[in-house]
Amino acid sequence: MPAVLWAAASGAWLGQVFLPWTSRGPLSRATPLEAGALRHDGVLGSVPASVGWLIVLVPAVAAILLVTVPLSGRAWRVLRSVLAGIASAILLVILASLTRAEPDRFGPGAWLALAGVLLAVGAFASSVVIKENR
Amino acid sequence: MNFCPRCGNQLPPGVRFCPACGNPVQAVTAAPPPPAAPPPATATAPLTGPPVPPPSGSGRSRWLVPALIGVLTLVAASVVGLVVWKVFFASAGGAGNPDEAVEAMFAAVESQDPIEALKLVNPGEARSVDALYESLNDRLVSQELKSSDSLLEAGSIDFTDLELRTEMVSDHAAKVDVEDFTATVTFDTSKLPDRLSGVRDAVRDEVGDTWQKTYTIRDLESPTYWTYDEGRVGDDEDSEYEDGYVDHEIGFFVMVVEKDGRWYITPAGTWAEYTAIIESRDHRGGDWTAYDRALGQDPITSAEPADVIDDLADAAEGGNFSDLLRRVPIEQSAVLQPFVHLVQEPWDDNRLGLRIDINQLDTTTEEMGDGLVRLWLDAADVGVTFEEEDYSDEYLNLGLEGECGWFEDDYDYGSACAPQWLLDDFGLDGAFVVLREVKGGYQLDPLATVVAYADALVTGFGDRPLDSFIDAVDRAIETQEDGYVEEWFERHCDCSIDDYDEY
Repeated sequence: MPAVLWAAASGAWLGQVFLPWTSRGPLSRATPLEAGALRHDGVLGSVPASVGWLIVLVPAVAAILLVTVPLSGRAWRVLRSVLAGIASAILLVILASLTRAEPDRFGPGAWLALAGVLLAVGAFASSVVIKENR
Repeated sequence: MNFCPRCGNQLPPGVRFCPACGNPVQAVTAAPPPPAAPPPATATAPLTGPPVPPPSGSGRSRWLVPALIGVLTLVAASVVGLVVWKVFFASAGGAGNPDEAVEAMFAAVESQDPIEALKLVNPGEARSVDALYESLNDRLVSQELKSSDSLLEAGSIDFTDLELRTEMVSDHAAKVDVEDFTATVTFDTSKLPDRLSGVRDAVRDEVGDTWQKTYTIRDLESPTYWTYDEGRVGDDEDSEYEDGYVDHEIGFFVMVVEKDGRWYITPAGTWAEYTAIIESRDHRGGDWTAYDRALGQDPITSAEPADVIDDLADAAEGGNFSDLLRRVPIEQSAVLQPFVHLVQEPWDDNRLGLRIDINQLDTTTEEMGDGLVRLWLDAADVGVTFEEEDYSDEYLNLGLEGECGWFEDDYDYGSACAPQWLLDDFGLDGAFVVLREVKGGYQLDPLATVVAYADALVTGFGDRPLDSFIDAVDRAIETQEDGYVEEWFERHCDCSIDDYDEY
């Protein structure tokens, strides 16, 4: 069960880069990929430079998380939890920056990223429960 | 209990070789559970095949985990590779060729998508404009003037039959003539916001609930220039202007420039090309090979932010306008280099000169992030002398201190302070320019300066005066009387110059 949740969480975090994060404003039709590229080109001023880097970091962390899903053992469990924590923290920073944490501004990408955070929390909780039951 | 896979002999715990046949076997450390059935009699027969490895789970489970990791690694690496390539290596904007850039811009206008439009604009001319748009959009939404991202929710436009013709004017610049298109404009009065109910009623009375009209390019008035032809004197049928003058329609075109293999529309270059065709003596536009040369030139920068104004004044005194432009970020200045000769040649021919005396310049700097620095002009006193051979010099003195300024020339003197409403409503209490850090130095960034002022106006304007201004405009349109707007200005500002003298 935790493996499925971890896989779903990392899948959500990989998928969010292909969906717009805001429902209104200039980025409502641009995906984080496009926003990051335009930020890198210096065209977008509404996206802070740090967010331009963080946009790339999230799928990288999610990718490592996804690869570790089939691996069992304490070290891998800890690594997954740490990676999920990092990804969640970064996503919250991006969320605050791009949508000002106003739910009515959340676009499909933001909702998917948040769903990933919830799935990661669920995966973490279920892995703790399973460990205690053993 | 274990048995030798070769001869079937029962193996005691801990042995590495079968005591009966000498076949190497896995060490048995503990007595395993008894086998479900005794070994078949045939197992006692000598075996010639390779030794059978001890059982360690089914084949499926042995391969499943590595295979799964392999597939996941492939998926993850693909997504990360795509992200890194898209963000750092692929061009986010522009188009593959000049035609495509203009076609995509028409599509962006159709979809009313500001980011799509900005992606097609020369990056140096589009930088940070999205932030200004976001500020404006937020204000309009907060004032209930719009609810979505469309620039104009009540209106839409569709283009068909677009015909373009591209002429390469240099290796890295092209002129795209828009030869034909059909535009269908639709207006839905009901989509006007409730906040503008007066405007909505007035528009509904005028055009009804919905309005649609189709235009072709021939319905638009082409920009025109005139030439004087003595042969036409007395024959005014061919001229719409005046006897002897012949009008020449320029048509509609867009200048497109290439940068890093992608093509971008340049609004400044397009405007400058139109201006050059209309105003220059030969009506031929710019020399765009100068754009190609400018791309390879190093920028000229100032070592410190506070030096930028002084250095610009020195460059202007030098009278080399190409070098003067190189003190502005190259993505903005390169598209203006094709027109420098139109100013430089008459300047040199008429032996004009400029002397700039900076008598006082007090500045403070403020980091804006993203390599931008705001240079506040706390106090300044600048004397400008225009020199022209065979004519007396003309002198102009400009001054600034805090929110007050003055000018003085040979004929006039005037001084003014920013009115209190401006200070209150916009929070602007001084003048500034925005500088950009370029290759370790600093340059004046005209676009960033304009965007910073516009952003201050958009975000700083208070809700209450904006509310009352919208009401005034709404009532003025509803009643067709502009007195409401005039009254608003009278209440909010005193825009007259405090003190003005004519010598």
